[in-house]
Parts: sequence; C-alpha cells; structure tokens
Amino acid sequence: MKLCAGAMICAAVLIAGARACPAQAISSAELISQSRDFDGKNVTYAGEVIGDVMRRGDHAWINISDGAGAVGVWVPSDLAARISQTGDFKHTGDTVEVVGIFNRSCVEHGGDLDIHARELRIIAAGKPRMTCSLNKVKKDWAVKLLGVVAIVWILTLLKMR
Amino acid sequence: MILKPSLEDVKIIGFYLGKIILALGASMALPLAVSLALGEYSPCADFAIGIEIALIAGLVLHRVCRTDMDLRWMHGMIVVSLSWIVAMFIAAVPLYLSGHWSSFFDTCFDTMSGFTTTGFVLVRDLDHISCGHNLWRHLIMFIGGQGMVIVALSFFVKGVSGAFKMYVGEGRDEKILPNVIQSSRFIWLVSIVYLVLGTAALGIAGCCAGMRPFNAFFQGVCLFMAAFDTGGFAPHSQSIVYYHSLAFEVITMIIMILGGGLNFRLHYHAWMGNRREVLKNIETRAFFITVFITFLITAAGLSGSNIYPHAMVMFRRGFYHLISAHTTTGFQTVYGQQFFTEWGDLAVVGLLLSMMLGGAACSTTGGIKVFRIGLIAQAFVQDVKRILSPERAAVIQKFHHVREVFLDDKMVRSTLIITFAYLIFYGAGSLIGMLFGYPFLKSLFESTSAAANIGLSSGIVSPAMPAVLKATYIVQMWAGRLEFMSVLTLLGFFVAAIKGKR
Repeated sequence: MKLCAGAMICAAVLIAGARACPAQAISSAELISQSRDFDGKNVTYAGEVIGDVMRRGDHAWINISDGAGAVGVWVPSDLAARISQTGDFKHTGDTVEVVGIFNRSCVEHGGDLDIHARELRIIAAGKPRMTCSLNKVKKDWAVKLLGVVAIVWILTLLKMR
Repeated sequence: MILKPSLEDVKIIGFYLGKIILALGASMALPLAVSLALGEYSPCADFAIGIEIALIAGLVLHRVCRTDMDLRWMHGMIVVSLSWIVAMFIAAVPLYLSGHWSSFFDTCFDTMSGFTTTGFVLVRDLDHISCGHNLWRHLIMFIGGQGMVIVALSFFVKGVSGAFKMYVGEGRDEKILPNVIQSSRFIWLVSIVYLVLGTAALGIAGCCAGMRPFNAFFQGVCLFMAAFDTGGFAPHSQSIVYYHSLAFEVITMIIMILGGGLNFRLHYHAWMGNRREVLKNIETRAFFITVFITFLITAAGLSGSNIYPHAMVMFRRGFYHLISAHTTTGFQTVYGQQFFTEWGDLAVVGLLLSMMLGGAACSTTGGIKVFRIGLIAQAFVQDVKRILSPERAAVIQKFHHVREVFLDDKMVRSTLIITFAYLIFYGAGSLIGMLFGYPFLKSLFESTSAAANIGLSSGIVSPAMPAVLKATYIVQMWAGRLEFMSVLTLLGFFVAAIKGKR
C-alpha cells in the first residue's frame, strides 16, 4: 500500500514538473531541414515575434524568429492579443513560446510550412532598441566629409572660372 | 597590334563614370528623406556619408576628366562595366554602416546582387533593418533592373550620340524608339506607371491580409521594385513566405511576368494598342512554351516526391517558383532548403532549366533569354527543312519579332555564342562550388542562380561561405547581367594598357 502511494506521489510530481517545464523548443533550422520527421507532430517553438500580427478572422498569422530563421504560426485571435510588441527597427518584439501542430505543407494554408498553435506564452516582453539615436562617430564623419565636399565643390567652381 | 589606350580615352571613361556616380549619390537622397521622416536618425547619418562619398568621387572624376569628346564603342562598354563595379562599392557604404553585414565585402556582395537583380543576400537580422536601409536595398534593385546607365542617360546625358553604346553595354540591344534616350525615358514611364499600380495592389492586399497600413504600402513599394525588376529581395528574411497570402503570390506573379516575361518593346506595342503583337511575337511564344515544358518537369518531380497532398497545392507552390525562376526573380514561398530536402532532384532540374533560360531580352531579366531560345529553335527547323528539301532549294526561315525577320546564319552564330558562353559560365561556377566540397546539383543550382541573376538559393550562399566563392558569385552576377561583352572589353582595355604599343 505504501509502495503504491509512493509511486502515485512520484507520478504526480513528474506530471506537475512536466507541465511546469515545457518541452524543449525546437529550432527553425531543425523544423525546416527535418520537416518530414516533425510533420503532424506537436512541437514547441520559441522566438521573437517579427513584423505584423496579421489578423484573419478569428485567427492571426505571426512570424516568429529564433535568430537563425523564422517560421509562420497560425494562432487563435485571443492568443495573438497577448502580443503587445512586434520586432522591427525600433523595437525588439515579444519573445514567445508556442505549442502546436507542425505542418510541413499545410493543406488549410495552400502548402505553407507552419505551426498551428494552441498555446502561446510570453517569455519576455518586447522593448525599444537603441539603434535609432544618432551615433556620434558617424555624425563626426558626416561633418568631416561635408567639409571635403565643400572644398572639392569650391575647387571645381574655381577651375571652371 | 594592340594600341595602348591614350590619356583622352581614360578621360572620356572617367568623365562619364563621374556622371553615373553623381546620379547614384543623388538617388540616396530618397532613403535619406524616408529615414528622416520616420525618425531613423542613425540611418540618416549612414546615407549622408554615402552621398558625400559619391559627391566627392563624382565631382573629382567629372572635373579632372572633363571632355567634350563623344563616346566610342570601347568607351561605352568600359564605362558600363566599370560603373557597375564602382556603384557596388559606393552603394554598399550606407548599408555597411547599418551594422547588418559581417564585413564590407559581404555588403558589396549584396549590393552587386541588388544591382544585377539577383537577390542573393548575406544580410544578418534583416527583420530589424531600418526602413531607410530596406528601401535602399530595393531601390538598388530598381536602378539596376532599369539599367544603371539608363538613369544617367535619362536625366544626365543630353543629345549624346554615343549614348547607344552604353545602352547596348548594359545588355540591351533593342531600341524601343528611334532615339535611345527616348527609349530610356519610355522604360522609365512604363516602370513608374506599373510602380503606382503595383504598389497600390500590394498595399491593399497587405491591408486585407492584416498588415498595418504603413507596413503594407511600404513593403508594397519594396516588393514591387523587387518583382518588376525581377530582383527577388524582400523586406523580410522569409521572402514571400512571410505574408501567408495567396493575393500576394498572384500579384507578385503578374508583376514578375510583366517585368521579366515581356520585352519593353512589346510593352510599347501593347501601350500603343497593338496587342496582337504580344501574341504573335516569337519571344512571347517561346516564353510560354518553355514555361509549359519546364513546369511539366517540375510538376512530375513534385508528384513523385509526394510532398503536396493536393494537385492545387502542388500547382500553387510549383508554378509560383517556376515563374519566379523563369523570370529570374527569385521570390520564394518555400524555404530554400526544402528544394533539396523535399522537392526531389527532378523538380529541382525543372527549376534549374527555367533558371538557365531566363526571360525576355530588353526586359529586366538575366539568363540566356527566351528570344535566343526561340531563334535556336527556328535555326533547327531551318536545318531540318534544308535536309528534307532538294539540294538546290533555298530554304528561308522567318520569325515574327515586331516585324517579319529573315533568319540568317550571322544571327544564329551570335545567338549560339552568347548561349554557349552562359552555359560555360554556369558550369565554371559549379566547378568552383564543387572544389569547396558542395555537391554537383547544389553547386550548379547556385552557380546558375548567380550567373542568370535569379537569387533562388540551395543554401550555399550564406555569410559563412568561403570568400573565394563569394568573389566567384560576384563576378558571375556582374558578367551575367552585362552579357559578357562589356566585361570582356574592360579586360581587353587593361591588357591593352599593359601590353599595347603607342
């Protein structure tokens, strides 16, 4: 009886642990190069949401980049609504983890390689990138070169006379 | 005896090169303005530096080499081939300063890929690049597709009889209108009208697909430039896959056919109401026949590989890539690796054949060109007729290209020489790829993609590929786009400068 109870406790701990620590995310490179192996299977994929959240009826398309490549994910609108920032020049997008069925050529979407997500979790919120502000070194070079352009221009005018 | 080029020769070349560099610098004002308007201040500095370098180089050349002499054939050819090299370096400056490329050499690879409308990319983290830099990447493609020298011809050169020599040097040998500058301006008129229509169509499709209106129209402009000039750059790293939209695929396919499948001369006739010419022309017929044959091969391969569950899905994926390859654009709706891991060899061979053939002459495409394929087919027919006819009979073969033209041996000879040169070029590039350990089919695919200015990749092109291979592909893109003659003239000029006699 004690043995049975112990086994049940162990099983419960393992199941709870498994839920708390999601399956290891698969990379975009693996999904694309081994698409046959993952076709129709449940996968976990994580990365930054880039570009637009493209709403289409009760679902939306998002593209998630893991740094090496990006994969399209078809998510229900209520899950897509959790995304507050997408990646572009001025922002790093939300980093998300999705769980869903991977399709190497999705029948519903005209042969797309995609993931139909049923879970979406925000791992890290997006933030502004620091690349917009003017770089001082570049500014100095631009000013110096402007001086050179002016000298060349004046010399050109003098030669014309 | 080879004559050493004179100082006057060098001055003429330098003078026109200066004009083209100034035109290139002026074109950077557009992405600068966009960056400024969007508050992208760091990119503004990148473009300011780029413009200043172009101004310095252009003004110095223009003043030092000032001459009133007109161009000869040799000068026109050399100006063209040199201007593409110089433009590669100057256009790379603002892009390199963005920090999205590993080295200046990689940036030059991408700018040559852009100017030649190839579409290979070594850029890193494209999804975070500024709108200004993204616009410049696509504008490079537009300028290159129209013909860089045409920019100068249209706006900076007035009444120069030697202009035709530069026009021919860029791989266009047909005048649409009697005057070459009028021809250049007509090409611009056609392109601007299509630009407005194409951008509107893509922008509306983008809004309907759920994109933010600014992104939809901005990316619409970029995609139009890449599609019409059969370039293949895209604003996002996933190419057309990013949009997950049938409307995008249909619109880009129509633009690719308009830009790459149709000769600008046929556009002129269509615009003038002579639409029958489009249907009767040897080039249009050759294009549709080769599309049909190569699609049959690709479809057979895709059916065999069993990747797509339905015929319509297979048609959508297969036909899009076939058009993308045949018009030498390089847009993708599948990932590059999938060609080799999923499509199977036969489907890849179908694509490869269409890549080798290319689109229309006097359009924005690369490759052998279907006009030449049509001529070679006519020559075969003529030879078969000769064999079947009595020995004394004179066999005359005609084809329709704007007017009825008699096929002569000189025409066939020059066609075969260029075709043969392309085939050698494809093979030589693949040999170099194999020397670096890549398999035959992948190497041939990449080499053909570079030399025919396509941009579909088997996965070889990446920032990590060997520098020699990068240099090989740069040369292939450059010489393939200019159809060899101006490049060979440039080499001859250097040989004459060293070995020639006064």
